[in-house]
Amino acid sequence: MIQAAVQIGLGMLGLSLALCFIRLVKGPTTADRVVAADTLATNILGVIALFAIQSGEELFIIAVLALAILSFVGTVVYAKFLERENIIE
Amino acid sequence: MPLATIVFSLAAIWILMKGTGSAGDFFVGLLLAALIIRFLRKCYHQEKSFLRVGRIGRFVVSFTRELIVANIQVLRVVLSPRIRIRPGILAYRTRCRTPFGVTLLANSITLTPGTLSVDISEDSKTIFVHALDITHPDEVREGIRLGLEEPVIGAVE
Amino acid sequence: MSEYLAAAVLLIGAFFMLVAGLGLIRLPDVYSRMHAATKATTFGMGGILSAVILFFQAAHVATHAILAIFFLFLTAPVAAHLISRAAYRKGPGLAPVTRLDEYGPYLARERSTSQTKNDINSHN
Repeated sequence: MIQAAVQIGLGMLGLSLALCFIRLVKGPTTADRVVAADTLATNILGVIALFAIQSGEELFIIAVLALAILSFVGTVVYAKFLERENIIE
Repeated sequence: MPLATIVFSLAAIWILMKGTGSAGDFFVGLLLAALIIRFLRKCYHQEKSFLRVGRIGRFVVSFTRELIVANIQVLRVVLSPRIRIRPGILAYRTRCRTPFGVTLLANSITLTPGTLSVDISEDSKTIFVHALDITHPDEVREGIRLGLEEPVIGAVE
Repeated sequence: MSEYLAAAVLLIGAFFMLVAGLGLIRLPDVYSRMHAATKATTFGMGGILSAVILFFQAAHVATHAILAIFFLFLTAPVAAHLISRAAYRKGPGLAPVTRLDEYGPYLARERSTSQTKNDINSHN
């Protein structure tokens, strides 16, 4: 039961990843690309969480937590770059 | 919250994260918590009382309701065959005074129906809010005031 | 029983992640795309991680998942705020359907005052 749900969920997330990727490539402005990259990262967190359920391996949840922190830092740096065009002041 | 409560709850989270609890683990947790408090000393304010718990609860309930409404609205907008939105950015004068209150309000605005906080003015009294439907700007303002600002002020100010 | 609940919550979460992706493609400008991206992904991750809690039913997994949910709810609005602010300052790029903009005038005012401040500083 839950494994079937995981399969369907993985399909949905895969589709979502593809859509984000289209926006990442197409995005008329850099801001669009940053938003797309941020959403892509969150989607990957979802995929990892689903893998945790599929394999029954709890350690993946720690990876979700760590990657959430890292992706936030990445997005902040991108936003700073967008605003100033240089990160190091 | 007194410092000791924070240290002990951080240690408890440490134990919960490890899954197995021995006395040594708890001691390590206490040590780490003390270290964290040591570095974050500047961000820490002495809280006045525990009486706020009820009002914090009211804020959480109000926030959860708004969150669910927000997601159903996003669902409706995105899945409708033709995208029909009237977006715009409006200025919202907030009555929150503490930096923490303004931050919490701005974050809640982003996660609730049809609104996204874009920027806060230099004197942190005006929040600029991007709304998906801005036909009646005053209705949007009223929604923020009743649904979020009142609970936020009740909970943290 | 809890397995069915976990499956249902999981599907709702994954569906909202898909909605975020669709919104990213279909909405007209970066700000409205951010509406979909921020709200739907945090809600979707909340659903998926709740399913994880229901599936494992272990205290330490639940702690990690709750911390992750808490962290996402804390950081997603901050990220959206930073991106939209930077995007507007770089060049508004509002969709043609936009009706009202009270931020532009404020930004112009702020820029002109900071300009005079800089002038005064350079004179000293």
